Amino acid sequence: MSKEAFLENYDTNFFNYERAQRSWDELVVGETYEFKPFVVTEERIRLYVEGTEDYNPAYVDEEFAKQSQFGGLIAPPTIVVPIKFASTPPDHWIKLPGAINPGKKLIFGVPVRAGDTIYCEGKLIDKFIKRGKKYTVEEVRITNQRGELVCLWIGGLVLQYQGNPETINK
Amino acid sequence: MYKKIAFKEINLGYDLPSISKHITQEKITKNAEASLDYNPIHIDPEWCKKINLLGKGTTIAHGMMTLAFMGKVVTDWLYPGGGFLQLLEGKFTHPVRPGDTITASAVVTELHPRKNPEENFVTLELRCVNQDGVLVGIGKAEARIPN
Repeated sequence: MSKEAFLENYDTNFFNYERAQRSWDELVVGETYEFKPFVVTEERIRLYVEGTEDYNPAYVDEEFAKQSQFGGLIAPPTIVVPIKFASTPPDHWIKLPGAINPGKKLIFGVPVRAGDTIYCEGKLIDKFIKRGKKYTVEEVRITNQRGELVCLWIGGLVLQYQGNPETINK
Repeated sequence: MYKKIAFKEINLGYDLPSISKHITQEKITKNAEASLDYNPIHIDPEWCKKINLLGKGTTIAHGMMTLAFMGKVVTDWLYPGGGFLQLLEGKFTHPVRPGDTITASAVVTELHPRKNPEENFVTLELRCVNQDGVLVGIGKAEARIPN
């Protein structure tokens, strides 16, 4: 099975790219994002199952999974989260230190399985100000190597530390 | 071992078994490693204290950790029962902090029968509260029940 591969400039320290981040004002509704394809390994699924403490038999019990509606082990549906973060460049606003998640909508297609290569295509579909806070909304179409829809991800962040006067003392 | 869920046997108002989870910084950090979301609001207590994050200066749990937990209530019932998750949606209404205990619940609010019974699905309302009864997450799931 292929090993998972991260972007060349992948960085777990979000501060390292903070200065490269664009401000909310600079973002343009309609702009699109390129994400690196990501291979989902058994190890990544195991880490995610453990991190979320979700040991559903569909994810961990090979015998059960073979007999189930899935025909084999699958990853938890929210595995799209590490897939998104692994694929996203460090200067994308999703990695802005201090940004807050107000919510998400995930529409699921086929499940992710170990060995799948997952592709993400993103687009900024909205940005708005509400009660003094600056929001972004992104739509990400997530597919596998067979072109099947895995997930349509809709949501964004509150870009908390962008000179927003309501949060200037936070 | 697991009983298959039959669409026609599901009643409106059916309450799925709720689940609780105690949140610690260790669990939040482990979730950061699992989800690859290393935003310092989740993993850097010193920085959060310095900037007085959200007025209390503590780290907060990932919103997606809360959403995954809310979804778990559904998939604990759904996957062993032969169903498929079509939609998971949530709004994070209050921060979840280390030391909190959160409880997620789900109730069937809509039945969607289809001509092709394999496309039958139900809608569930999801809620998650902390130990003080404060709502930390609210959402919706759609579960396809082909049986």
